[in-house]
Amino acid sequence: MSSNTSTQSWMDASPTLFVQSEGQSCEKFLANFFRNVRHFVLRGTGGCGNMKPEFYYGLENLKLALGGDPSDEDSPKFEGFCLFGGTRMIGKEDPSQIFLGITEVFPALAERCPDARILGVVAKAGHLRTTPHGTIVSMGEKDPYVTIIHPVQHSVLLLQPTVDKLANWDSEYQRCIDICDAPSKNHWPGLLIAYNGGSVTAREISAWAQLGRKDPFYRVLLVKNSGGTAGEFACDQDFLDEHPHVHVCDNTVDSMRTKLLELGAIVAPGWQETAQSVTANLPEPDSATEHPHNRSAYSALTE
Amino acid sequence: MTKQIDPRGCFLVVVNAGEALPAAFKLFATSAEQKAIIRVAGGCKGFTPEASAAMMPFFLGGFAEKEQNAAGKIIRQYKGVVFSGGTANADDDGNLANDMVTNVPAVLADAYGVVAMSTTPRTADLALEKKHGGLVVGDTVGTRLDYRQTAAAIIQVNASQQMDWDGDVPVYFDFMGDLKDAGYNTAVITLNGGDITRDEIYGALKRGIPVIAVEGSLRETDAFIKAFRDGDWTDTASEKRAKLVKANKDTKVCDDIVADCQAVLAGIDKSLVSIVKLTDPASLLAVMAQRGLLV
Repeated sequence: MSSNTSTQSWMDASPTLFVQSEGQSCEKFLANFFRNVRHFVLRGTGGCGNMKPEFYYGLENLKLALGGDPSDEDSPKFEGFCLFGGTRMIGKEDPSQIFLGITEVFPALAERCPDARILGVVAKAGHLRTTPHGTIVSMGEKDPYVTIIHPVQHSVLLLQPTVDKLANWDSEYQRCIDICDAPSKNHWPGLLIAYNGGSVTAREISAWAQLGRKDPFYRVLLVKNSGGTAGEFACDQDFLDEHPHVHVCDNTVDSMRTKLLELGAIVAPGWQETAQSVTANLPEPDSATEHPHNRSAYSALTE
Repeated sequence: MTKQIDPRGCFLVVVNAGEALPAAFKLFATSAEQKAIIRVAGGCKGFTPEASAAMMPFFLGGFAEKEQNAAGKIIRQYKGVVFSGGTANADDDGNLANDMVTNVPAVLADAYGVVAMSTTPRTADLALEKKHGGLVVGDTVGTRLDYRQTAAAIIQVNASQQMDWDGDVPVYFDFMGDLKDAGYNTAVITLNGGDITRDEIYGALKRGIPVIAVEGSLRETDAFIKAFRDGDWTDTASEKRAKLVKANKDTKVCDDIVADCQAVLAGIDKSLVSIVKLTDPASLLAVMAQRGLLV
């Protein structure tokens, strides 16, 4: 490889980074959705720093379920736009140490799923620091790790109220819901997949569940036995009965794969040639008065 | 049949100056089968009856190649987004005519299933026509927003203030630019037109967006062709110059306009420009094919 080619390729491989303050829109980040990628939005959320090691194995299951079986080139895999938290946790003492969390699942798809666009939405929860190991967005005093912007993704949207103020962690999922408004209005299919997680994940699951009552875009897949709030919701039969668009899978590759196929998140190679389209399975919106697109998604929740 | 994504009809947004076009509006462009977007710019002022009659057949003949037999099956066609100024003339029964450049997206949508979109500067207070409920966007009740589109955006300064006639130009150029960056094939087709059309021509070229100029359509488009092909700048900004002369005002502003246009042309890749004839749809078809716009 010539030096010019290698120079260009490391630059081209670097994610674009857009900083959005409150009240601003970010058209350049949203323009990612113009790419020639299958019209499906996967939002991935769940446990990070507080996830117990006993649940780490499921992250590998999720990678395999979404990324396909490496030994089978006909294995279904994710194609579409993936919104995730956009961060990585690295050790304070040893920055080469990666602390596992949900945000390690989706960057792995960038290589495994060439027809996917991996998009990070990051809350500026701490004042930014540039370091040789990445840009720090959060640094808890008692934590053994710092949180950096993940180096492997296509594009990142960094959220801040203002340049001087810090965002809270909820702003990530709230912004993701706002971002999903446009694909929803264009009748793309969507899916939130939740693994483990704490109170923020719980609020996001609840938000999607509520939105999904009126808008078929907002479907949810909870991983049972993943611990945390996703695991709890997955066992709450009353909640599941009230929200038929909330689905559950077991914490195994096969169960995840079956459900992801059913919900259209993963597709077999050559899916374009098959007769059935994912969107054909979505119910049509009803009358104008009940139309789910009468107001923006997140504002509907906050009224 | 026009592609209708919103089951209620043409999706409509009203955008204030400084606001971006809503993502939901812009994303309609991705519903087209082909990753391409064409802006149809200009007007038809001064058209002869023959030129007026030739306009829609020109576009219909240029956007699809058909078998030369009675069946006329389409061999290849444009399947992307076509967008324009969004207005249409309506009769007393609410029927929309196809007599303006701004109706080209709807006509092509009906014929070939392209995604028809528009950006319209709000140059008058809006009204709802009392018999059929169509959206009146002009000073007369017959000037409507063309509802036969997939999506339309009205651009205003704010709820109280109207917009200048060129108010949507930077907005739509940003939109086209983002699509171009995402790999979309882009072009501006221009006919006739005045000062704003001239700005659109040179604005497109500055942004690396190809311009397909329709010869024989008069005014600034023909003036551009004369300047580009023949180096003759006498017709560029000539209407503006004539108005200033009639009003006994200084015409230096026109000289400055010409100088700016010359600077733009000097700096562009000349292959960005194609010239086609209004009376020859095959010339448009050939350029569309050459630019990879037919699939």
